[in-house]
Amino acid sequence: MAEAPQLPHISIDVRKLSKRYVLGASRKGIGRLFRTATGDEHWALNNVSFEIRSGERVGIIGKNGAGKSTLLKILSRVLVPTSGEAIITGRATALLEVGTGFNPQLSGLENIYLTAAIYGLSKAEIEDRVQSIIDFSEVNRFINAPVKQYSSGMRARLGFSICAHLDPEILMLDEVLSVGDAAFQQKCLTRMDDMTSHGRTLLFVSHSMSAVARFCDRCIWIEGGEIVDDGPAAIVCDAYNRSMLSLASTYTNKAQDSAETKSATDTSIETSPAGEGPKEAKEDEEGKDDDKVACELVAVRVLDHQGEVTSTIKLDQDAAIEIEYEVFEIDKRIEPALHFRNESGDMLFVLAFTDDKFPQAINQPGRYLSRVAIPPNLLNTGIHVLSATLVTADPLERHISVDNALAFTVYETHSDDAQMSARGRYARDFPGVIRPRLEWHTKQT
Amino acid sequence: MNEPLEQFHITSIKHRKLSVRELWSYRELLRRMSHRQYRLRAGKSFLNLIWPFIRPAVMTLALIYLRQMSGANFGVDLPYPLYVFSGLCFWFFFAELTINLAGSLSSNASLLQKVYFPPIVPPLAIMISRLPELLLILLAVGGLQIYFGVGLSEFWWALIPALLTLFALAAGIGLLFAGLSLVYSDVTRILEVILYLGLFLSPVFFAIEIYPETVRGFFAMNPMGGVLSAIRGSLFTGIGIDWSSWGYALISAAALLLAGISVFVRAEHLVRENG
Repeated sequence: MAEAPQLPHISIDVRKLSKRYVLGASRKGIGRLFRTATGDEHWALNNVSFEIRSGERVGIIGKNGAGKSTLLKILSRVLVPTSGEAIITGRATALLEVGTGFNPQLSGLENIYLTAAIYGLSKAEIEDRVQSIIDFSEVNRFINAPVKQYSSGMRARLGFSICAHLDPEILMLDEVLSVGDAAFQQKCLTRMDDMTSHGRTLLFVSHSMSAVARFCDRCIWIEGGEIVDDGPAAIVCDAYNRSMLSLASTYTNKAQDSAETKSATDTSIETSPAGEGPKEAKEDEEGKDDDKVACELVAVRVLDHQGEVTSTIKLDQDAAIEIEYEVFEIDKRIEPALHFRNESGDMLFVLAFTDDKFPQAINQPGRYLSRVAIPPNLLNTGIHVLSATLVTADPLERHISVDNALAFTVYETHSDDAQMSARGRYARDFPGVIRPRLEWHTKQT
Repeated sequence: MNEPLEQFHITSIKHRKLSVRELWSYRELLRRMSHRQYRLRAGKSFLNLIWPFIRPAVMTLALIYLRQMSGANFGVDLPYPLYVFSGLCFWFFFAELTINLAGSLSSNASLLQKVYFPPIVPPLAIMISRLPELLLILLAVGGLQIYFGVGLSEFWWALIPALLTLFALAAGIGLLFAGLSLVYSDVTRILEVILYLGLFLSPVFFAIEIYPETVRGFFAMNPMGGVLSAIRGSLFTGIGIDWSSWGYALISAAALLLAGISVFVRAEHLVRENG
């Protein structure tokens, strides 16, 4: 056989899966059981196909109602597809809700046995795991108390703990990390990490892009029941974030492009119709010649370590920002400046023009291309929004200002050598608006 | 190391077949659920199972008194207390089991919407959880039988098949109504009324023979008549078994079971769908 021996087998093979819901079904009574419902149709999933190989960690993202949960429910056999098929190879466990099947009257211990049995474990298998389930859930003291006396956090911990110890070959999780406190969420993520690094297949539905980007190698973006994008997690998450915030990955002044040959004063300002898109504002000071435009922004781009235009940069690699602009007036001393903000809009820092070759800034008309290097291990992971301005520094005169000109995503991958990044040996969520890796010097004293 | 991995094929076939192999792999769940059902009924102590006997016992005493006061002829050859007590015990066992089974889908709805397990497990668990109670009934009836000096029937071997007919009938009606209760909201109430009327339409208090020939055919349509005749006939000597009405009960039980399962699996689909 000419089969590639290295390729792991397919764990989840989804072929043209569709799911139709009928809204406001017209059938009444017994007809609802025996006849196909008619009414307004809604395709929660429409002809979805993909393959997931053993050991892959796949995130599923999309807005509410995009079909993510329907997909997971079909794969976990809770729902039956309207058409299409899926083949699951290996024991699969789906956790659609933490604490599923808990009986409040029964004790924590009895609930462990009952829940594990609902997930199809045998008695011996449950007995093997029961101690580690109790330990992980941190409810040791209350394990013989009825679950109705538990706090919601304790319930969530016990629920996740059971599922985390079911040891399936394929684990499917739906938003389970939205419960519990931050410390426990972290513990869950670490446990998932352990499980999946042992070759288990993970299917993970989440709204948390950072969790998906960090724990998944691959990401499937579903919208309106169809696959929009399927690829490396960092790239798909970035595209998704960008589309949610309607942010572009590069900025190009369209008017400038089309008006290259026209008079410079002819340039009109393009503003994006989307509220959060790039906003351009020209601020001319009083007493200046209003008709004359001193300069024009042409484009802003993000470059990766190889100099290619990109929208995602890796945490521990070189990157650069490139700004292209046109100067029309002599002696205006025009200079570009960049403002870095994070997703929440916090200003991270401002980059002023400090190019040694132009101590007096730009005082000759012409088209210029300035590039500034972003060193590795400076920015933290996540979305970064860039605003670009063209100013005269002294006296301050702001000629062009494009807010939210572009956005890029900084990501790290799970397989990265942690020592190379500022996180060191920390496996947890690494907070901070920036993430510099600074040099330590230690000696024994 | 290279164990063949289990493979599951998800298709658009709406109604899953009941698979014995799958059921076997969920035997721990069946055991747990049966235990839970048993505990719900018996609480912490086996002695709590005495409570189901209170109602038949009180009713038996009342009927004995009534019969003595009125001198009515109920057409019963057996000692009357034994006849009516056994009839009431098995009737209430049947009625409560049926009502319980009719609720097995709606009470597990939220679970069915979250995790897959064979939907037949909860009804099976309910039936299994009633076995200790059945044993207790047999002990009580047997004790009364010895007290009245009634010998064991020559048809003793028919007891298990007769009890199986009772279970099949309860399962058929229970599963049917479990499914129907999802689409008609009042259907459980109707079942309660039917079972209440059934108490008077079955040979519990008196033999069917006391009715005139013209209405007897109507009473014969009640499959529980045949079941009670078979159970009593296999316990008590000298009364025989009405084989034709037992045969009719078996056929009705089989037909109701088929209808019940067919409605149940479709209703289960509806439950998961509406999650």
